[in-house]
Amino acid sequence: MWSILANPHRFMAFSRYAVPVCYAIGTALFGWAMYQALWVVPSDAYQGGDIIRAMFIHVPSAWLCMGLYLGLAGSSFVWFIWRHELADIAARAIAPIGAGYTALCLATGSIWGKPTWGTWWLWDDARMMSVLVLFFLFLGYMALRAAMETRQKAARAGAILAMVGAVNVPLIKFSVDIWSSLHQGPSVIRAEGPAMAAVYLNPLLISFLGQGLIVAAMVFTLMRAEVFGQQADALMARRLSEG
Amino acid sequence: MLPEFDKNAAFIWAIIALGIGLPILLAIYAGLRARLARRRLERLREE
Repeated sequence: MWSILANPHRFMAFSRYAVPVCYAIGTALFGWAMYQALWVVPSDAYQGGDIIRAMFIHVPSAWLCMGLYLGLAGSSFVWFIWRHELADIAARAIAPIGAGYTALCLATGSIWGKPTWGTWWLWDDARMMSVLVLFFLFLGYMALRAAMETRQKAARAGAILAMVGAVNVPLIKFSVDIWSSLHQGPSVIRAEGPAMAAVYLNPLLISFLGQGLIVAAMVFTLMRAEVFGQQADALMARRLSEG
Repeated sequence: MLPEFDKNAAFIWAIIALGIGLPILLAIYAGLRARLARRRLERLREE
């Protein structure tokens, strides 16, 4: 499937229909998860009462920002090895969405932390700091590309930064195991299976799936914008060379 | 018909507002960029 979509023309034909479908299904799933989170899911006395409802926004945004960075690093790797133009377009499209979702993760985590732990932020918490580094990696990727003179130089410098920065993703995941943190240990993605009751786990996974589809639609939309932009640039260059 | 929370309602609603508002802003940003890029290409093709 990936080799078929690697052709820009096929990608444009596919994404034309994939974008509205992803938006529609993603919004429906996310809407259902929010209904469950606000009206159905019971409050949890052990986890601070009703504030547990923040989990259905915060946790999927944390998973998504790590997934988006892996997507950025993976696309950069594909461009770096095979020089595939669509991979570079994907990397460029992922960066602003990744930065947005990392900001969402940081902001919602900070708001959740105040009533739960009594603080908005802790500078020596490994999980918080590694996610902040992820945010700066997304911003740094965009700034580095914007500072380069040519598209090739921007792609190369951005790809190297994205691949090197990928080491931060496992650090985020295992930060609560390696260092002391206010965050609890893993309760969903762990070897023994999820340690969460189904009444919380199912809406959480549906929220993640819904938000994931919405993110996919946004990335496809930005990729379409990049392809349109490149086609326009190529047209301009051809006209200028013809005089 | 909004749900009522025992405590921390302001924190919960702030997180919900961010969780719904920020993706909407990102979707608008992505849509506008695609629309502007397509219009530029169409204009160049027409000239």
